Parts: sequence; structure tokens; C-alpha cells
Amino acid sequence: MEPTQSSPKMGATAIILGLVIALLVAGSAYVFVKLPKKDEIIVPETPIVGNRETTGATPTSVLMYKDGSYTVLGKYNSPGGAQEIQITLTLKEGLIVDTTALPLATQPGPLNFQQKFSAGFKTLVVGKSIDQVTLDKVSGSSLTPKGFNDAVLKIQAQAKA
Amino acid sequence: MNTVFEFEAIGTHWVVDIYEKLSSSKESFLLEKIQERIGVFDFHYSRFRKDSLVARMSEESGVYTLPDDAERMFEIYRIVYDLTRGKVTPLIGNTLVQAGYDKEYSLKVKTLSIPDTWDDVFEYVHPTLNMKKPYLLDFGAGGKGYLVDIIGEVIRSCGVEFFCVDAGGDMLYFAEDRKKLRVGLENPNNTSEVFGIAHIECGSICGSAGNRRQWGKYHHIIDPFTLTSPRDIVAVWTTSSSALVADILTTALSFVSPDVLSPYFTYEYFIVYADGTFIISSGFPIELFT
Repeated sequence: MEPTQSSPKMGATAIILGLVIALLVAGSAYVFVKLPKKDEIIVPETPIVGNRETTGATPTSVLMYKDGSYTVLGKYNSPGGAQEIQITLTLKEGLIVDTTALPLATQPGPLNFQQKFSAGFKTLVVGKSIDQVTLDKVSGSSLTPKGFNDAVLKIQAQAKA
Repeated sequence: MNTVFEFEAIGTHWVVDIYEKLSSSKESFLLEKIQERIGVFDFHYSRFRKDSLVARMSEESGVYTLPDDAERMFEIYRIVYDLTRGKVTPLIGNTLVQAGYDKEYSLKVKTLSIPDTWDDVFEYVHPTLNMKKPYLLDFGAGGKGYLVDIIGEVIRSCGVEFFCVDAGGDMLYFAEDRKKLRVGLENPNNTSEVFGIAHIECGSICGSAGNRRQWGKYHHIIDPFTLTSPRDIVAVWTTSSSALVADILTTALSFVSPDVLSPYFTYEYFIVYADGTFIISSGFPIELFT
């Protein structure tokens, strides 16, 4: 399959759109969403198509983004006029490893919203069910001696009695 | 067919994967060597057994000749002790016992006391350790990781190059063609979930979280000065070429920020805070769920 320029960009656009929409929802209920045009997305390097090893027998071809920082200018209209915010994603081996948001608004109202968004912009880590992912190993709170667990159970039982 | 050894030792579950074909005689020889080596380590450094070297040192001052493996462990402990200004300390043993984390897991909390300083208690010039007073040493912060490194060496000494030593989630891994190991990073608040997947190419990953060894207001890490268990971090993972380093740095990161340790150790980290925020070093190989 020939690598195409548009589909990886669309992928990045989708992610960034999601973030921008999150901004708008979080920031204000009455701003109007204007989705950025494709040519507003700045993708510094050409994404590549590569093979990623899978646990199955047949390797599947998946889209890979080159490592690096991808910056996008998010534009939207607020009651105070057109606003911009700059969002940067850092990708490593196809994964988002860092994100930053830079408020670009100049008026106090929109700037306030953008600053609030930027402060709370970093997503929170959430769990995903172990059943949903393929794992070789699990690492967590290690060293869980049986004696310790038994003692805890005993104490809990005492507390209930 | 690969070989898998699974057993319980030093209070945790071990899984040793050998990614090479071994004859059955070599298999049993290797398993015996591994378990024997763990036994020796436990006999020297476990504070959970009455007959160990550290148990003797807790009863009697004087000069002790330490085994060869002590040199590296004490060296790393001393560096981390200094970098954390004494917060990661082998002298925490007695404080943990006072908190109830003792041989019998009594979990009965008594009055806790601030441990003495390293130089007040002992002087170590390999292989001689001079205990100036009887004191219970605890190697819980890095000991298990170090034992994982040592078992890696035992496996290599039998001519095996590709393997994974997993001691209750603290691992050392080497595979052919650098095939990545997918390690789920367990959510301590819900152990049926993972925060993400670490893709380990080679070397060690170690984790630390308070959830499974928690009693009252304490868990397995106690700040020796405030005598409380740190609560602002819920889980830490580190990667490094050495499991000793990865392991001890998970504890160190409960007390100091990553950049304090960076000039001295090559490592990567992923820290999850109690409010769900996190920090990841740029080289930590994670696929994160947010």
C-alpha cells in the first residue's frame, strides 16, 4: 500500500480536533465551534508507513507517525471574537508522550478560559481493564507476601467484629 | 519450547522465563542454582528471618565481614541516601518494625522513632562493616531489585543470553532481536486495570505502589523524618539497565523530584499522583491510557 499524505494528517487532525473541542466544552458553554481547516494543521515531518510487530501470525501494516513534536493552531469564535490557542503533541513511536497548550487570546475573558484550560489540559491517567489489552507481564505494587495479606484480612475481620 | 520457572521466594512470586531451549538436566541445574542463590541472599539480608546476617547485626555491635555482593548494594544505597538527604536509608528497619511491619506482620503500630544517621551507626569499607551499635538494617528499597540483577548473572553464567526474571513485577529482561516485552502498569486503586503498557526493549522495569502493603495509615515506605507514609504519589515505575537502580529509585522518587537523581543515574520514570495527574520522562516507553 502506498503511503498517503492525507490520512495520517487526518489522524492527527482528529486527535487535535478532539482536544480543541474538549477546550471549548471545558472553557465555555456559549462559544461557537469552528473546526480548523486541514491546511491549518502544521505537521513538521512526513509521517511514514511502517510495519509494527503484532502477537498474531500475520503482521499487519499500520500507520506510524514519525517521532517529534506536532503543533496545531486551534481557532474558534467566541462572543469576544475569533480566538486562537496553540496545542503541541509530542509523539514517540506512535504514542502521545506529552502535550502542551499555549493560550494565545489577548482579551481578558477568552484568555481566562484558555488559561484555565491550559492548566487543566494535561489529561489524567485512567485505568483500562486488563482484559482489553494484550500483556506479557504486569507490574504494580510488588512484594505481596502471603503473610502480610493474611494479617490484613485478620485485622479487617477484627474491625468488623 | 521455552523454560519457565515459577516459585515463591523472599515473600513474592517469581517467574523466570528462559527464551532458549534447555536440556532437562540443564534446566534442573539452573533452577537449583537460582534458588540456592536466592537462599544465600535471603540468609544475608532478610530482616524477616531470625538467623540472617542483618538479624545478627541488630543484636550485636562489632565487625562483620560482608559477602562480595554487599559492595555494590551499599554503594548504591549510599548515593541514594545522600541524594535524598537520608530519606532512603537502610536504617529504617527498626522504624518499620515499630510501625508493625515486622517478622510476624503484626501490623500493630507502636511509637515510631526517627532512625539514626548512617555514619552514627556503621562504617563500611568493603568487605568490613563495623556496626558501632546494634541496629536493624533494611534493604527493602533496593534489595529485591538487586537480587533480580544477581539472578540475571546466575542465568548468564549458565550460558543463557535471553531471559526474563520477574520477581513480583520487578523485572530484568533480555530477548533476541530486542523483541519488546509488554508490561501492564497496574492501577493500584483497581488492580483489574492498567494505566498503560510499558514496552521494554531490554533491561529492568520496577514498580512501587502502596496499595497492597498498607495497614492503618502506613504502607511499605515511611519517611524517616516525618514518620508518615508518603501519600501524594500512588504509583511509580522506573526503567534502567540495572534492577537495583530501578528498584531503589522508585522509593527515592517518593521523596525527591526526578531531576535530583538524574545526574547520577541513567533511568526513566513514570509517576502517578493521587489526583490522577502524572509525569513521564521523555524516554519512558509507555502506551498510556488517559
